Amino acid sequence: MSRTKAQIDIAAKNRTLAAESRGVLRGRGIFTVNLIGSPGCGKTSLLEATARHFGERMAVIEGDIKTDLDAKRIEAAGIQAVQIETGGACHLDAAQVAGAIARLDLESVEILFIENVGNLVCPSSVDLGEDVKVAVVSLPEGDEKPAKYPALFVRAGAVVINKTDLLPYLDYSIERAAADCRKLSNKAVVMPLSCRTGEGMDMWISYLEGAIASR
Amino acid sequence: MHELSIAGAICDAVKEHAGGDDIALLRIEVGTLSGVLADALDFCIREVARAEGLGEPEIVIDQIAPRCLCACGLEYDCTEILEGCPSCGGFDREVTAGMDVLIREIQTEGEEK
Ligand SMILES: Nc1nc2c(ncn2[C@@H]2O[C@H](COP(=O)(O)OP(=O)(O)O)[C@@H](O)[C@H]2O)c(=O)[nH]1
Ligand SMILES: [Mg+2]
Ligand SMILES: [Zn+2]
Repeated sequence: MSRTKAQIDIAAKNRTLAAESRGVLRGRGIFTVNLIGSPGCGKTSLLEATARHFGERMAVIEGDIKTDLDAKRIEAAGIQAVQIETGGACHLDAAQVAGAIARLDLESVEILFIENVGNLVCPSSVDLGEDVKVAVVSLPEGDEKPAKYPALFVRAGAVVINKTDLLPYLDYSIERAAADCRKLSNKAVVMPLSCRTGEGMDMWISYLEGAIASR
Repeated sequence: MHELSIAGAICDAVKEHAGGDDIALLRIEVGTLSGVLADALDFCIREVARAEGLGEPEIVIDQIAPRCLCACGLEYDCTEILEGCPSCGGFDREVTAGMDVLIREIQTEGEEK
């Protein structure tokens, strides 16, 4: 009988790959966002709206279980996009993202978005090489989602609260959701906005421009 | 939702470590902020261990609460993440543990090495 006390981090392999991607991206002065939220919260819509501002300064890696529909939407907005189909997996991993980065032309790119598979739990703990995790929630989901899914929100550097145009139809307290987000991640920048009307998009854009400038 | 792939990663690491010996016991630490379900992981490790020929180890999973380091200097176990620091009430804190899945102990059936 042999007994070994250990401290083996099973995420170590993924973390090494993520660190390599981070090195490549930072070396080029690119700021990278890992966008995480439920299916339907508006991640792709947010990227379409963001594309209007950044144009060719922006590129997108799309993660979905199935189809390249989202990459097609991003390309239709005039933006370079690479689709990853996970074939069932509930989150992207660093190897998939490294492969996608290799397929992008990074020449004019200053900001890279990785739209993770729609899921509020599994993507949270998987490092992809990003500079920041941005959580996206939307009003129809209810204002208690940050409280219920702390694993994502403790890691979030920013939170987008999308679909504010629906406020008149729902019992949603933006204050409550924002307060919970700040409890979970003290320095998180919380940005209520609507992709539909454009309300609040200016704060999102200046947050991103600030992040690029600090690269 | 991805406990099966985590169990696969755990068994890979254990296999590397044990070099062919059957495993008697595995102690795994699961942070409550890891996004991993302890019960599901327990089940998946048993299944993968059997399939990979690692034997039928006893699986012990310790769930640990987040460890927080507050700006006031206090380090504490944070069982209620939406409550502030027990000393100053603040939320300006860093989570220093409880976000990961770690293998803490491996006991093999083989000869003492
Ligand atoms: N009312 C409203 N609907 C939105 C907004 N943003 C996205 N949607 C809608 O929400 C649905 C899901 O959006 P999508 O971007 O595909 O979400 P994803 O799954 O997170 O990528 C679509 O029908 C969008 O038109 C918004 O700000 N307001
Ligand atoms: Mg999408
Ligand atoms: Zn304190």
